[in-house]
Amino acid sequence: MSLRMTAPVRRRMAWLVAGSIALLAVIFACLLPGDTLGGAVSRLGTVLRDTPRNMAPEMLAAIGLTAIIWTGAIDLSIGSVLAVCGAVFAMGYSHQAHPVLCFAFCLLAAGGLVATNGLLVRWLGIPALIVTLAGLAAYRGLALVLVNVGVPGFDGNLTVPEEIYRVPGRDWAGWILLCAVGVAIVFEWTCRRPRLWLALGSSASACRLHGLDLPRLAISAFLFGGLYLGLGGMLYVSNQQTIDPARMALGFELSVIAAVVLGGTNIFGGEGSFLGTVLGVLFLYLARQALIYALDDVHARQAFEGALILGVIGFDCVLHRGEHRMEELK
Amino acid sequence: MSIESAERGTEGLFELSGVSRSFGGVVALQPTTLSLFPGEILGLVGENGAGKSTLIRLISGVLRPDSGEMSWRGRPVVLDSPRSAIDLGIATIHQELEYCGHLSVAENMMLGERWPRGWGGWVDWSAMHSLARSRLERAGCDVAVDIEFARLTAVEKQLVAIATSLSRDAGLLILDEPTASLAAPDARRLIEHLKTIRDSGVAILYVSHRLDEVLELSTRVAVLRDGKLVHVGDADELDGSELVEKMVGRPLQQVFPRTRIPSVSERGDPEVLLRVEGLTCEGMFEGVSLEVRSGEVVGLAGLVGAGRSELARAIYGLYPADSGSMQLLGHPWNPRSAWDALQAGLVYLPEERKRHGLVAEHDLASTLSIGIRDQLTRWGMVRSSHERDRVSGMISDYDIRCSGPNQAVGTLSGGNQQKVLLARWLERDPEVLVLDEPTRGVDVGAKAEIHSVVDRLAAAGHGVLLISSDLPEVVGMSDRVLVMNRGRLVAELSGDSQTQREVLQAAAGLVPGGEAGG
Amino acid sequence: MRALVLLILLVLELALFASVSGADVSTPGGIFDYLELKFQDLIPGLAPVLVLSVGMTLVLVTAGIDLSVGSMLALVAAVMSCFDGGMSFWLTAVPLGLLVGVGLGLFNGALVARLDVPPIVATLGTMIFYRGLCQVVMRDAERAPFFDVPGYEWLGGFSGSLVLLVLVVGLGGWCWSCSRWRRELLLVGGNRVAARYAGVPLDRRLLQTYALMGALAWLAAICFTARNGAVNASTASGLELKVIVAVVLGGTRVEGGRGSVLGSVLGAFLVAVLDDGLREAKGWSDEHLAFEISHLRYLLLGLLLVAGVWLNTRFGHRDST
Repeated sequence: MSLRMTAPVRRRMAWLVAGSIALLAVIFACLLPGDTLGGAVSRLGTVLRDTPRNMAPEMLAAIGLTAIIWTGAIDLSIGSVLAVCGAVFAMGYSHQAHPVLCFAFCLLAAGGLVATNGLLVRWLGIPALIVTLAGLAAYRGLALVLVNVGVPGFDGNLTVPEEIYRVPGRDWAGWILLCAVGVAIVFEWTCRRPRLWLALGSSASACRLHGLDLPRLAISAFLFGGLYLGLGGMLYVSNQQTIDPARMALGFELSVIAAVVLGGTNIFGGEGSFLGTVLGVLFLYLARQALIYALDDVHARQAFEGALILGVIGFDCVLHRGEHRMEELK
Repeated sequence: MSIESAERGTEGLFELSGVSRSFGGVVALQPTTLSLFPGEILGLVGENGAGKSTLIRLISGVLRPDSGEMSWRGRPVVLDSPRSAIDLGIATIHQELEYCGHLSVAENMMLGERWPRGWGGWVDWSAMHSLARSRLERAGCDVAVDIEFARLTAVEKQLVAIATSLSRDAGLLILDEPTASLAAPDARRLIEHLKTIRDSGVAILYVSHRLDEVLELSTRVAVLRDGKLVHVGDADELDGSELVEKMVGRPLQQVFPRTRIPSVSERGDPEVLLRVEGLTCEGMFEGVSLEVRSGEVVGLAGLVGAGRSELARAIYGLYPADSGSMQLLGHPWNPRSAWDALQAGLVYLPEERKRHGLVAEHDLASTLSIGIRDQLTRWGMVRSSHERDRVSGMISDYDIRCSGPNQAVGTLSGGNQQKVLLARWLERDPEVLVLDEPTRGVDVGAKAEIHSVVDRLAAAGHGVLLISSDLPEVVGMSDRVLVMNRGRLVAELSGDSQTQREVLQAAAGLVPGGEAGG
Repeated sequence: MRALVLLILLVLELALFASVSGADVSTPGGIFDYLELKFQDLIPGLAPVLVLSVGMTLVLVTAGIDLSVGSMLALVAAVMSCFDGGMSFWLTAVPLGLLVGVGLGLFNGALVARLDVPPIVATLGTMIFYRGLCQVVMRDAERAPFFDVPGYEWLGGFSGSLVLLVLVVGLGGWCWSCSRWRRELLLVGGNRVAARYAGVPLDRRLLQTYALMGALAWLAAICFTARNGAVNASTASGLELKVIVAVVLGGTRVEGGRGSVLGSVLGAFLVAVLDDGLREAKGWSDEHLAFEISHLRYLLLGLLLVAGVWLNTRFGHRDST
């Protein structure tokens, strides 16, 4: 079992690499008409240069969510958590707090909320699906309440014109992303904790019998998820001109979950890899870009994106279906 | 101190003193005093519901006792979690193996421990693998350590589980039905291995329904009945039938009642109920041909993995065969689903009742009535008064011991659960029954009841295909025995050649002179 | 037992919002008037959620989930809105809407049953996909032909909604509790493999369940448009959350194997009273709070979900199916 990955995950990653290359070709093909070869190449270069910055929040959040899903849990509230990040940031900004402080608040808010999810799942014994579905609603409300109470004169959105707040999200995004992804992959390959997360998702009773501390293990996954979501939130907030907590990151969790599942992680836990998730996010992002360039019709984009996600997931499930049915009967 | 300790003058390695446990007002284990000594095997027997699993769970730290004390090497201990038991040196191998399928064998073996670290604080995978390999070698098991655990065969998984426990320098090893899903050669291998472990000074608590194994292995035997320890003594004091008497509290006539004439051909030419010709399913079984006639019990023996359950599932219609043909009651039989089989009069009792048969929280009434749902329905609606009558009829006809039709099936004993699953199919009055390990994990009393049911069915003219890895059962209950090996039918034994040894030889691939067609 | 807990919660909720909205509930007559008014107000708005809750109960019982109901409702309404108002609407748009609804539901069912895609992933994807299709159909427009259809508006009023609900929920619920279908679905959700061994046609039952959900989405679309008269691309976003909250509050478990239509009905009432109460409390909130009370709705919805499920887990063990 080379590189600690199972065969299906490796297969999926191969498909995603091939698919991403195909999508780049599609984008290039869309850029060609009405332009010279050199012009098209430079425009492709622009697209590629912007990719880390635009992809970073989703990729970081996806890595965090992957760890949570490995343990057999899930987190549907990450979009709303980002809204709270935005609200907290806005509160700090409107009280002239130092940028570093504002970003620290973001990180703490995300970490705190995701950790709360984990704690509630453990203490109340309720499925993570329910707790985070509740969080999806509750945190969005919390963000709106916070921003209306904490920001004097808030009227729906807040504009942040100063350049210094844009530094992490615009200038350093690529490097932060690279470091964070690198740390995650090295973490996965060399440490025991990720393997224990996978073990928890595979069989909680086996873990209990081996004497592992299940609550601590589960919460540590949520903490990891919160950390990475916080990083992603920081980059997300600083990549925007305006902060609109009612509408920001709406539907974010959907695309992140889709990316994680696309990347080969089993939605029920126990199997997957960070590298696969990274490729899944890349693929989805390039697909979205390809849709923007290939389709003039703004309205059809979401439909195509949905069809694409369904197509890839369906195809993968069909591949496993035969063996799954037989295995099930044993 | 228990009586044994006082008699021996030494203290046991692990002692229970007046330990008891109840669940919601029902006493599962009465105050029990017991000692376990190093270098000895204590066999624990008892019917299901007698308190064996409660006792195991108390010793392995899963449950806490309501009263009494436990001591380890003379010092009192409180086991409040499985971890505390493991740390003390008590290792437990449970009946249902729990493992993490997608992790490697090495990772599964060392899940609860510290993993070898390299210079940077990172996990040293190669050191970990060689450590795992050496542990497996010491346990006499050769399995690759860096493959996915789920890819191991059932036998290999069991051996790795035992090797894992041994590697923790356990002072006390508890084995709960370890040979239940092992075929004879592997069970033998395990038993010999346990003798070696015993000689090295480990105390072993061996819990099993296989009384012959218990008597062979154990130094002393303890019998639980209705939550009470009714006998503790040397293993050579009692023989098998006396042991059974103590377990059940009454003498049992025989475990394998046979009231019908063994040789079917003497009764004229009975109708062929099920005929299978050249059935093949890629990768599972090949060219299997067999017949089940009216009034016959046909045994199907073989090692684990021989393809018997796969064959049964194909006959039942759960998946289509690649080639070959079948006939049921004289008509061509091509089932496209299990429902086809049920409506045509063929039922299948699956191997694992918890995984394949029951929903633990559903009540007894729903579990029973689902088997006859088409008979209870008119225009899509179930007639509840009719359902109630049929259900209470089933409970009394098949002597299912429960507190009422609303009891959750998960709380019934294994034998009663099996009776429930059998009852719901029997109520359909099927022509052919395919029973897959019907008495696995079932206590002696219920086992005898199930056997007499099978015997009655055959006497009434039904046909039974009995799949079993329990050699005495398959030899004792069947009119003739078919043996499968690696997906092919390699022998048909009857009359004088229908013995345990012949069956075992054929199953292992050593075919005696003259093999059956197929 | 669970039903009792829900009823108590409902009464508490009504009492809370009665005091906040300043209604006169000091006398029995006042209470009666207040309740009557509430009931009349609630039913039309409650109808879509209630109808969908019945279907969602079945889906959850099979250990599945359907996050796409909001998008299905919107898409069916969008397709229906392409037709002109008038008598012919009943003969063209309405049956076509049913066809579309069932088709969308069958697509969900095919993904879950035939392709073995986990329901949460499948319906997450179709949620995006159907919403996208809705955008294709609607563009940026808002269409409102519904009130030009004779008799349509009646369905959106109190009596029309009540009749519809009694038929769907009452008749449907009664059929459900006696049906063979129910027993099979409970087994499918309780232990899927055991269902296969017991001869339950797994694929067919799942397809039927999701197709029924689609048909109920059509019915809910009719209820919705009969009340609002218009539809646009973001109609009914977030509706699935309300439906799932209602069903889960009602005692149906997400893991499957157990479910109650009566519980879902009570749960839907709880959610509707919450919504309505918050709307009415706007006056009070503008005076006393710095933020809009509608923001609290999300918070409260989330808390209600967690509280309800927790209560069920703690106290709901013994109830049979």
